[in-house]
Amino acid sequence: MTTDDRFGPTLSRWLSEEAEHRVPSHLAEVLVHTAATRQRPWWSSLERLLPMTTTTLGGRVAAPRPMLIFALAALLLVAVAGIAILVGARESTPAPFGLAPNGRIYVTDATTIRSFAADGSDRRDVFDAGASEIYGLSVSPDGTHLAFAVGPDGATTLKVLDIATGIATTVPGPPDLAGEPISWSPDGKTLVFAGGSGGPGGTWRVYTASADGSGALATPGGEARNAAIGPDRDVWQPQMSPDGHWISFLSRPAGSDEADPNGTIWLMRPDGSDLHEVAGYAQTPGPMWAPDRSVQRLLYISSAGPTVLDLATGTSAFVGRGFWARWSPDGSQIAYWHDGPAVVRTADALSGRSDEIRPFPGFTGYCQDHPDLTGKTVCSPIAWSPDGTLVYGADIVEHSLLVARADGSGTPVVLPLDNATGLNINVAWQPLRP
Amino acid sequence: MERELVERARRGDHDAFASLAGAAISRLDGAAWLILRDTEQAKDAVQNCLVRAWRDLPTLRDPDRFDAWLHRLLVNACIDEARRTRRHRLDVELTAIDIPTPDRVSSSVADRDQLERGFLRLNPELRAVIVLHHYLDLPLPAVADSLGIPLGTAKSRLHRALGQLRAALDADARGAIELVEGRTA
Repeated sequence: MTTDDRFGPTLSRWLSEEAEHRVPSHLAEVLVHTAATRQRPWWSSLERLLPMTTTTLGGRVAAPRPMLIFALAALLLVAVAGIAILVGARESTPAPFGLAPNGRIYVTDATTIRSFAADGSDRRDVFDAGASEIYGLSVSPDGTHLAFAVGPDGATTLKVLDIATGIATTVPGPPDLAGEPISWSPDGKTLVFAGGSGGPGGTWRVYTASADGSGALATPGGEARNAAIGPDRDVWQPQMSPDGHWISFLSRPAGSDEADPNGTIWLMRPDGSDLHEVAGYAQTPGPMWAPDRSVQRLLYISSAGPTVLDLATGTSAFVGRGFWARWSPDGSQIAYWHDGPAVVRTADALSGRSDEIRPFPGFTGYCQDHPDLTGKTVCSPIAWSPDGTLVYGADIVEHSLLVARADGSGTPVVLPLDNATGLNINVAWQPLRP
Repeated sequence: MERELVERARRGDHDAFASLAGAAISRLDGAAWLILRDTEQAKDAVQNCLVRAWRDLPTLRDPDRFDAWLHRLLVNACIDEARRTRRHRLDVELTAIDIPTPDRVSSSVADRDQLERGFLRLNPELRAVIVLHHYLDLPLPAVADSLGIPLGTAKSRLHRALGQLRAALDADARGAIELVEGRTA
């Protein structure tokens, strides 16, 4: 029942049946209270005094400018983009992803990004978004920058923070940004992410933007890409391949539920060309590239569970039952969720074996307290430290992050957070590069 | 019709508000009960929601957004209620785990039991996003509007909420299978 397409309708039916007649009628009681309550005057809310268009757009109204300036700016941007593409095409991408020494751990704590030393000590606050929630946190391949989204009601802003200086730059982004981690190109120059054009019914697309904030927001393939994928489909978790030659993403029917098995995996070139479907029956989150650029493999969640698709041969290997799968930094292991956090060696999984390691051995089952860490639970996707020896997961009940050895030895380290609700604990573990 | 009632209630017509409340209270009660899983707390949350709705209705700019606004007030009221007794309720929820017996695993009763247990393990914020989408049948843009969050955040929250519900069901199913095979979960 956990993965098939009965899940959504079953859940809706169960909710309706559960809710029926649970609360005895209390309308009369409520109306007594409301009748005794004095209404606030309309002028007590600033919002009623503002023009409708201003509040609807959440303060993002741009002052009108002459068309000529726009035209010149567009021409300039096209020229800059053209030069950048010509220059970029001659540049080689840096060394492929792989193991790296562990730097600091960066984690979203509601409206703040906090950091910890690799051993969990030395907690610091590195970015405060005021009253706005932070999400989508990810770290650049060289470990020098963080990308994240800041979401005041109704409008989001994409930021890139220089870890060394603490300076955050605003990067052009769409009005809505997806909540999954923002993806980086292998050279760290481009951000790739899913976003919406804003408002109900807005189209979701793959976007790219320069990580330094220069240039304009781009939609690879533009409307042609959307038409090719099909109308009324959402885009999830685009990611650039380690060689920088492809962008992968998941497309699924807009508004469909989590377990909808009708997602499709797509590839396209960074300029939007050569768009084609490579797998069907996929679920969220989107596909993830194997870090080793010498192989072209995607890890995705098929209707059966975590699955590795070899793009060179077109063959698929089933990893095991479960979901929330993540490659280790060198691609030699895969962490996923199956009755709690589990790890398998990739080679074993590809050869049909699935000898699971339990990196959090005290946490079998869902949200069970650890015997040595009373009240602590792990209820989230599990991800990896840059050196591939540690894994971490979020404790959604007690608002903390737990870090454990990937081989299951030792006791997890608890990194306490303050305000995270468990809905958006995003973690980016900084790799240290020479 | 509803717009007219909202405009009248906004001008202080309590009878118009009573009509609006009467039309909405059943679904508000159902949603509050699903989020809080406690009859008294659900009643309190709905009452607080409707009292606040009446009090603040004159400040609502767009009468067409009444439903989304009411849903937002309800979710906020539910989360306030849950926070008031959060520690106690979490203790209860996390320890009251009933592993299904093997003969129930494939039946619809087992499905319902699994959903019940899985849903209980979600915190109220996560329950809220599921309830808005799967009980009140709101499309994701309306869920985002009701929660006052961007559409991307709403997508992400629903994704996580359903993921955690699936994790609970997965753990339950595995526990049942291992009982059948003679092992403890």
